[in-house]
Amino acid sequence: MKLLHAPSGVLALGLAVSLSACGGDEPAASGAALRYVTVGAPATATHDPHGGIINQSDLVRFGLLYDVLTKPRPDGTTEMRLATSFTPDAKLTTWTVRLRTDATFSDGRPVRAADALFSLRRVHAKAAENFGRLLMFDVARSRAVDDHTLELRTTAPYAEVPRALESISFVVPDGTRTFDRPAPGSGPYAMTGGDLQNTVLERKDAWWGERPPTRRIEVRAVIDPGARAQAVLSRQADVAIGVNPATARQVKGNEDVTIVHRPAMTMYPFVMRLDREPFDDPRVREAIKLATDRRELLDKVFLGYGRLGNDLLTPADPSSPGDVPQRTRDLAQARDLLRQAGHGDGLTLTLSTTTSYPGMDTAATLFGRQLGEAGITVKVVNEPPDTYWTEVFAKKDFYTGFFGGIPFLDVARVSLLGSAPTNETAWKRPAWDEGFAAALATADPAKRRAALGALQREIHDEGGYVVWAAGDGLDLTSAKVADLPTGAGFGSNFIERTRLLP
Amino acid sequence: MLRRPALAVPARRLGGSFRGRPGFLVALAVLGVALFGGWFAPHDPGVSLGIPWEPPGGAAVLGTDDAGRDVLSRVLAGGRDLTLLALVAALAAAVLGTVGGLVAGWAGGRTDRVLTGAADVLLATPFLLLALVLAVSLPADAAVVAATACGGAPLGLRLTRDLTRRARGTGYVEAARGRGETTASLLVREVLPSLAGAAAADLVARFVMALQLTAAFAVFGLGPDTHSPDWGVMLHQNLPGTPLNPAAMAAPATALATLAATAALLAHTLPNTNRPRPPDNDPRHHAPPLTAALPHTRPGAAPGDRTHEQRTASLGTRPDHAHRAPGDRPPRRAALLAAVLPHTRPGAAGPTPRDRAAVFPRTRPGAAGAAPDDRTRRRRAGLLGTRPERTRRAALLAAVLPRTRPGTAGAAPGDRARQRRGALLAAVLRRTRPGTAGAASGDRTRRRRADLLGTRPGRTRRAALLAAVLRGARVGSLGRVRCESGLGGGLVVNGLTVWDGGGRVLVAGVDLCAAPGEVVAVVGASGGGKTTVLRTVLGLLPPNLAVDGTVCWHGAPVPGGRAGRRWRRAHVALVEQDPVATLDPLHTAERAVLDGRRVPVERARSALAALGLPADAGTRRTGRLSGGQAQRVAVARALLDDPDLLVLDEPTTGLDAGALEHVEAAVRSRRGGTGVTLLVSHDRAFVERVADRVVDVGPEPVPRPAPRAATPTGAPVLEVTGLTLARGTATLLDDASFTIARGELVALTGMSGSGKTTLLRALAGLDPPATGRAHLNGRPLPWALRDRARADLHAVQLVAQDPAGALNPAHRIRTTLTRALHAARVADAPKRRPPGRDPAGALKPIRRIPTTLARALRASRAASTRESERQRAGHRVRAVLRPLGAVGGRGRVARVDADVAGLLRRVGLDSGVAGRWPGELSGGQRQRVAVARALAAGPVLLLADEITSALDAASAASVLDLLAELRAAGLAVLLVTHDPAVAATADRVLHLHDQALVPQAPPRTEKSHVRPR
Amino acid sequence: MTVPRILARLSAVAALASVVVFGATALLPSDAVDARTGGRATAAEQDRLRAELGLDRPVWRRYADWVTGLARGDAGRSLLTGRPVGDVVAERLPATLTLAGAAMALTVPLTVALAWLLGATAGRRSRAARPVGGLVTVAAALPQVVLAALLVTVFAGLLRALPPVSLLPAGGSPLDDPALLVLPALTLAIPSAAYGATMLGGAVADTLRRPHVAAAVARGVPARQVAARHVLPFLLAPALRIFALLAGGTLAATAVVETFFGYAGLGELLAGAVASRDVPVVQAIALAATGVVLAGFLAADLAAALTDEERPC
Repeated sequence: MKLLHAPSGVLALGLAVSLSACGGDEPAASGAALRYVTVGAPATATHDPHGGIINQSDLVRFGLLYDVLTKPRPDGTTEMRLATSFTPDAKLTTWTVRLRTDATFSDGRPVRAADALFSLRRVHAKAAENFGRLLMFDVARSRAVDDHTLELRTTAPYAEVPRALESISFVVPDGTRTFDRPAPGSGPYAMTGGDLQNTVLERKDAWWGERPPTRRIEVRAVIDPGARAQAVLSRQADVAIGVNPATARQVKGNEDVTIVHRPAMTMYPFVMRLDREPFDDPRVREAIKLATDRRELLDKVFLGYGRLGNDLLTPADPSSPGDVPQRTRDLAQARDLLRQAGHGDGLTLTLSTTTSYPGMDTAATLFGRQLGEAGITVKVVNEPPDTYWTEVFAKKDFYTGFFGGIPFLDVARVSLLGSAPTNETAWKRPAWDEGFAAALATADPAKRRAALGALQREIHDEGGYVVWAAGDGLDLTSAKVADLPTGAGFGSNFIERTRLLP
Repeated sequence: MLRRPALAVPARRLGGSFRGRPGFLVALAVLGVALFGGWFAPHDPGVSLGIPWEPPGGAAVLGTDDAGRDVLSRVLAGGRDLTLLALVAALAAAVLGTVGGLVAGWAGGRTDRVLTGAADVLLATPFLLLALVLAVSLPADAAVVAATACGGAPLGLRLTRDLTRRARGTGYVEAARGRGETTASLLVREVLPSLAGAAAADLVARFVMALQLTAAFAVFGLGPDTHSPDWGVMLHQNLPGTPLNPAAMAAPATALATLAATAALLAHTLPNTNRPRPPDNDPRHHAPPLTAALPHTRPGAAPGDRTHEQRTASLGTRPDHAHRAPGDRPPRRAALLAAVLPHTRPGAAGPTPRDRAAVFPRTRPGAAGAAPDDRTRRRRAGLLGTRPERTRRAALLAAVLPRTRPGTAGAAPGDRARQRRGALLAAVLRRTRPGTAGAASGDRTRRRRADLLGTRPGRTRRAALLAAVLRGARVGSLGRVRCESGLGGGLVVNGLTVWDGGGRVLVAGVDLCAAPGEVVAVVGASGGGKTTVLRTVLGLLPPNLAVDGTVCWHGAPVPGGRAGRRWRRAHVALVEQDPVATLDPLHTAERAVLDGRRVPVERARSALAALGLPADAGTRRTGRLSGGQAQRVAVARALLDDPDLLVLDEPTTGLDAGALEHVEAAVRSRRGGTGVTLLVSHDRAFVERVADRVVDVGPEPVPRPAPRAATPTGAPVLEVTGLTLARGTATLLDDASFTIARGELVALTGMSGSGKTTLLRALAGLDPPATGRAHLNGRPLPWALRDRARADLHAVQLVAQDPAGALNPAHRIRTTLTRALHAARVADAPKRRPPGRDPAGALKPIRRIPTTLARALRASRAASTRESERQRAGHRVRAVLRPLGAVGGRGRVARVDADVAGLLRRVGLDSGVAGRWPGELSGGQRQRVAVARALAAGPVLLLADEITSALDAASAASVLDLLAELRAAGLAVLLVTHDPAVAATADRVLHLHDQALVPQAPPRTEKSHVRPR
Repeated sequence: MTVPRILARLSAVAALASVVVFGATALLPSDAVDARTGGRATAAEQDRLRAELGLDRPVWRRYADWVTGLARGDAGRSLLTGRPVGDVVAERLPATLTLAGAAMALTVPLTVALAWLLGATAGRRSRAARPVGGLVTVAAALPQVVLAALLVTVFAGLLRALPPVSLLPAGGSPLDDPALLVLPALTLAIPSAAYGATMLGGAVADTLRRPHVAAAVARGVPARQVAARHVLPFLLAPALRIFALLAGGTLAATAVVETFFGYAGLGELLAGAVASRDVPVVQAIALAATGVVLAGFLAADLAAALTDEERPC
C-alpha cells in the first residue's frame, strides 16, 4: 500500500524524451546486469521485511533476497514457494504446512520450520504497521512440528490460509535481532553492493528453484515517475516501474521501448461516510453514483489506460462478481433520487483530495464538475499530502481514497469489517460480517467465491464507494526485456525470472 | 529674452518621480495582465474541453492541461490569486524587516543585539525546513506568507538596520534632534523617507521570493486549492504531461518567470534616495578615472543604479551657479563655448537689453539704448550671418564681452569675476603676458575687444578656436594638450588654462618651467587653482574639465590614459594634500612605503628613520598612526627611489616643528640633484626656505571682509568651565574654560583629529562631555539634548561640516527649511504673549508684512516671562534678517514659501533652489542651505564646523559677510576653521593643542592651509 | 570582536537554531507513528508503537535525550525504519556534499566576477552596465523549477550533451560520471551567484570609492596590483559572509533540484523525513546544514576581525 507522500513528477520534457529515445549509442545491456528502477523514497527505505513495507524497491529486493511461503500467480491462483503443501483440518482452523527440505540460507544454514514460525510471529507482532496482515492466525498456539513441518492455527475457520501468506511471509533465520544490515536469506540472489537506495544483487550459485536467467540485477529507488521513465529512455536503466499515462501515450510509436500493462492496479475511489449527513440516505449515494461520468474520468485521469469501474473495490480479484450490471450515467434519475431525498433545490458538498498520487486532484476536480450537472455544487479542497492519510482519510465526510490492487480479503479486513482499523465508509453491518466469516469457513472454493461475490455485490448496491475506474499499472521497459511479471497485486514484485534478450 | 543659454539642454524634473522610467511602465503592464488577465480568457478556465494534454491547436490555442482544460484561459486567470498572495507576503516581510531594522538601528545596545540575534537564528535555520514545516502545518496561503516573512524579514532587517545606523549620524538627523523633534516624528519624517528607496527595493525582492516559494511548494504538491487556476499548481499538475503538450508546462512557467523578472527589474530602477551626494566639486577631492577595470564610481551606488545622483556624479564637478541640466552630459563643444560665454548673476535671465547695447564698442557700457551707426551694423550682420543664425550668434556674442553688473550693493565678487574674465580674454588674444601685471585696466581691454570684432578672424590658433566655436565645429580635437619645445630637459608648462563644465575658470594662463635639480614652488590663495595646476601637469584631471595650453616633460608631451599611468609609475612621485587618506589603512607603514615596488625593506626602514619616525612605526598599520606621522610616511614613500619628478601638494599642513624640519631637509636634498621638484604651498616662509623659484597662480588673495564691527561687550552668551573631552581612551581636552560674548566671532583652530568637532558636538548636546559646566545667558545649560528646555534648543544651533550628509536626500530644500521653521514656530505657539505688552515693538511694521522669517524668529523667542538682555538681542537679529521685499498675504502656504525664499536669499541662494533636491546642488549650495536651516531657529549661539571649507573663495566671503551682519545684531558664533584667511576675520582665536585651548592673536601671516580631517 | 566572543555567539545561535528545528518538527500535526501506520491502525496499536518509539515522552524530554545522545555521538534512530540516523545520513551525505560543492565551485567565481562588473560599472553609464545589471537581476529572480526546465530543454533536449536525469551509479560516487553533476549544479549555481553578485556588488562599489584606491591609481600603480593589494582585502569579510548565506541557500535548494533530477541526496531525504515526521533524521540534516552556514559566518567574522581597520597590526 503506497502511502508515502510522493512529490510531483520530474520534468520529462517532451523534447528531451522524444529526442533521446530515438538515438543513444550506449549498448542495450552492459553485460548481463538488469537495471530495474522502481518507486522508493529514501526516508522510508528499510532492511526489515516484516514491518510496513512502504517502498516497492524494498519489496522487490526482499523478493530476491528471501523466500516466501506462497506467491500469487498473474491469474490470481497461489503458487507454492517454500511451502510445498497446505492440509487443513475439518474445521479449517488448524493447517499443517510442509516446507521444502532443500532450501538453505546464504550463511549455509538450512531453512527450518522454526525460522518460518519466527518470521510469521514477527509479522504478526508488527500488525500496526502492515495493516494486521496475519491477525487471522493464532501464532502463539501455532508450532513447528519438526524441521520441515509447521502447524498453523487460525482464530476462526479460515479457508484462504495459502492466500493469506502470499507475498509477505519472508523467512529470515530464527533469532535475527537487528535489521541494520540485510539478514541472511534463502532467496535466489544475495546483496553484493550499493545501499538501500541503489542495490546490486548477484545470483547465488545454490538455490532450490529454477536457476534465474540474469546474473546481476541493480534495483534503484526513484520517487518521481518522470525520472524513472527518463532513465529508461536515456538508456540509464532497462525497466521503469510505474510511469505516467502521458509517457505511455507519448512513446506509442517508439520500437526501442515497450509499455507493460498491469491491469486494475490503481484506484482513486470517492468515499462517502454512511454515518454523515446527507450520505446516510441511500438515495443520495445512488444519485451520486449515477451522476458520475466514468468514461470521462477514465479517459482524462488515466488517459484511457484502465477499465471502467462498477463500484466494485477489487475487480481483478477472482472472487469479484462478474454478473453485476455496469452502472452508467443517468442524470435524470439522479435528479429524481435527489428530489425524493429532499434535496430538490440543490445540495452543497465539500470533496477533499490531495496530490499523494498523480491524478488524484485532477479526478476530484472533474468529478466535482460532473456532480454540478446533477445539481450538486461541490467545493474541491486540496489538503497537504503529509497529513491527508491521518487527518482526512477515514475521517472526513467525502474524500478521495486510494487502493493499490490488494486482494478483496485484505480490503475487507482493513476497511469493511466492523472490527476494521479504518472503516472508511463507516460500513458497520454485523450481518455482512457474519456472511464474510461464513464465506471464509466454506472449504469449497467455488461456493466460497460465490459467497464473497455476494458480499461485494452488497457493497456495490449500498456501499459508500464510487469506484469509477481502475487504472492499469504502466511500466516502461527497453525492448530487450523479457518475462517481466505482469500480474495484479504483489505477484509482480518477484522478478527473478526477468531477463535481458541478447 | 532667452530664458537660458540656448545651448544648455532644458532641465528635466528629476528626483523621486517614477513617471519618466520605462521600467516602471512595463512592470505596471505585466502586473495588470497578471491581475486582470482572467477577464480576457477565451474559455471558462474550469471547463474541460477535451482529452488531457492535447497539443496546441483547434479550440485550445495553447492546448489542454491535465484535465483537458484550456491552458491559455488558465494562465490568464491563474495570476490573480498568486500575485495578490505574493503581494501580501511581500508586504508582511518588508514591513516586519523595515520596522525591525528601524528599531534595531535607532535603539542600538541590547535591543539591537536581541533583534539582530533573532535575525541570525532565522538565517542560520535551513530555510527549506522552515518552509516545509510551515507548508504542512498552515493552510497553503498562510504558509507562503509565513515562509516569506521568515526567509525575507531577517535580510530586510539587517539592511534597514545598517542604513538607520548610518542615518542616525548624518547632519539632517542631528539637526532635527537639535530642533527638539520627538524620536517618533524624527523616525517617520526624516529617517524613513531617506530609507524609502532601499525599503521599496526590499519589498520587491520579497515579492520575488514569495513567487519562488510558490513555485517550490508546487514542486512538492503543497500548492493552494486546486479549483482556482494558479500558475504554481499548473506547474505541478502539468508536469507529467509535458511530453505530450509542453505548452501546458511552458506557459505557466514563463508567466511566473516574467512576473518575477519584471518585479526584479522594477527594484533595479527604483530611485535610491538615501545615497549621499558625491564629495564636492573641489578638483583635489576628485578621483581621476581609473583604468577600464576600476572605472570611477559613484559613492553609495547600489549596483546598476540609474538615479539622478549617479548621472550627477558621472558628470564630475558642478559650478555653483550654472543652471545646467543635471540629467545630461553636456557635449564638449557646449562646455567650451559656455566657458567662453561665462554667465554673470546666478540663474541670470540671460543678457538684458542694456547688456546687448554693451556688445557694440560705439556705445558706452551702461548707456541705455544708444543706436549703433550703419557701417558697424553691416559689418556685424556679415559676421553674424542670416537672421535665425544671427539671433543665435547674437546670443553668443552678447555674452562674450564682460558686462558690468548693474549696481549690486558693494558686491565684491562681481568686480573680481570681471577682472578674471579680463585676464581670460587677454590669454585668448595673447597680446600681453597673462597674470603678471595684475588686472588690465578697463580701457585697454575694451580696445582689444574692438580689434577682435573689427578684424577678419586671423589664422592665430586662438582666433581659429573662436571661429570654430562660432561655426559650431567639434572642439574636442582642439582640447588635447600640445607640446612646444622649451628649455631643454625638465618640465615646461605654457599658457595653461582650465575651465570646468559650467564655464567657470579654475586656472587662467599659467606658465611654468622647472629644470632638473630645481625646486619650483607654486603659491597663491587657497582655492586659487594651485592643486588644479599640479593635477593637470600629471594628467589627473576629471574628464569634464576643459584644458588649453601645453605641458611637456623632457621635450615630449605628458602621455594620458594607460601610457600616462606607466609614465607616472616610472618617473613621478606624488604627495597629495591629504596624505593620510592616500595610505591603505590595512598596510603597515613599511609596506605602504614600498608600495609594491621591488625594493629591499631595509631601504624603506631607513627612509622612515630619515624622516624621524620612531623605530616601531614601521610595523604599525598606517590607519593607527597620527596625522603627522602618516604624512611623513607618504613623503617617505615618494622619496623612496629618488623620483625624476617629485610633486608635493601642501606638504607642511598639520606638521609640528620637528616633523617640518625633516620634510624641509628631504626637499632641500633634492636641489642640485637630477630630479625636478614641484611644490605647492601657501606657507610663504617654508617656500622661501626651500624653493629655487616661486610662481604665483590665481587671483590675488580674498580681500579682507568688512572690518570687524565694534562688538558690544554685553554679558557673555556662553560660559564653559572645567570642560573635559575624551574620544575612546584618549583625552582631547582637559579642564578647559572659555566664554563667548554676544556678537563675538571666536575661531577654533587645531590639527585634524585634535577634537574641534567633538567640542562643537558637546556644546550642541549631541555628545555630552565627561565633565564640565555650561551656562547660556547666565542660566545653567544641561549637556544632553533631552534635558534642555525647548528655548535653549533653539538658542544653540550647529551647522555640521559634512556637506554630503547635511541635507536629507529625500526632502526637497523647501521641505527641509519648512520643517525647521515649523519646529521653531510650534515651540512658542501655545505660549500666548501676555496682553498689552508688545516686546516686538520694533517689529510691529513687520507683522503687517507676512514674512515667514520674522514670524519664525518672534515665535522662537524665549518662553521665560523675564525680559532679558538676550531677548533684546534677539529682536535686533530679527530686524537685520528681515528679508528683502514682501509678498501679499495669500494664506499660510504662500507665507511659508515666501519665508523659505527669504531665508535662501539671505544666504545668497536663488529662490528657485527651494524646489530642487539636495542631490542637484553643489557642496557650497548645500552648505549654505544648512546655514539657512540653522538660522531659521533664530539662534543666539551658532556653532559652525568648517562651513567655508566646501565653498570657493567668493561664496566663503559672502557667508562670512552674512555672519558679520548677524553678529552685529548680537548673534555669537563659534567657528571651527583651518583656513588662516577665515581665522583672520575672527575677534578671538582659540587653538586646540595638547588637550588645552590656547588663546591666540588673529594670525597676520597666512597659516598653512590645513585640509579638514 | 575577539575570537572567543565570536565563537560564543555562533554556538549560541547554533543551539537556538536546533531548538527551533526540533520545536518546529515536533509541533507538526500527526507524527512518525501516523506516517508509519498510514492511519490504518487501531488506536491501541498506535499507542503501543508510540511507547515503543518513546514518542509518549514530553517534547522537552525528547530534546534533552537527543542532545545528550548527540554528545555521545549517537544521533538516535529513525522513527520510521529504526535504522541509525548516522547511517541514513552518511549514505546520502557524500552525494549532496559533492553536488553542493560543485554548485559552490561554480557560484563563488561567478559571484566575484559579476559583482566586480556590477560594482565597477555602477558609477559610469557605460553600455555594459545596463544589460549586465538587468541579466543578473533576472537570473536572481527565476524560480529554480523554471530554470531547471530551461536547462534540461537546452542541454539535454536540443544539444543532447548532458543526461536529463542524474541517476547515481550503484555504489559509486557522483564523480565517477561528472556529466550527472553539471545540470543540477548549474541549476543551483546560477540563481545563487546572481543573488550573491547583487549583494557583493555594493561592497565592491564602496571599496572602489575609498580615497586610497584613487591615490594608488594617481601614483600609477598598475590596475592588477591596485585590485589585489588595495581592494580585495577589504572585500574578504563581506564576501565570506555572503558565501555563507549562499551555501545555506544552496543546501536548502538541493531538495527541489534533487527531486527534479532524481539525484539521491540529502535534500530529497529531508523532504521525505519532514513528510513522515522522522524527527531525528530531520534534526540531523538540519544541524548539518546549520553547521555549514555558521561555519561560513565564523570564517566571515574572523576575516572581518583580521581586516578590521581598528586592529593595531
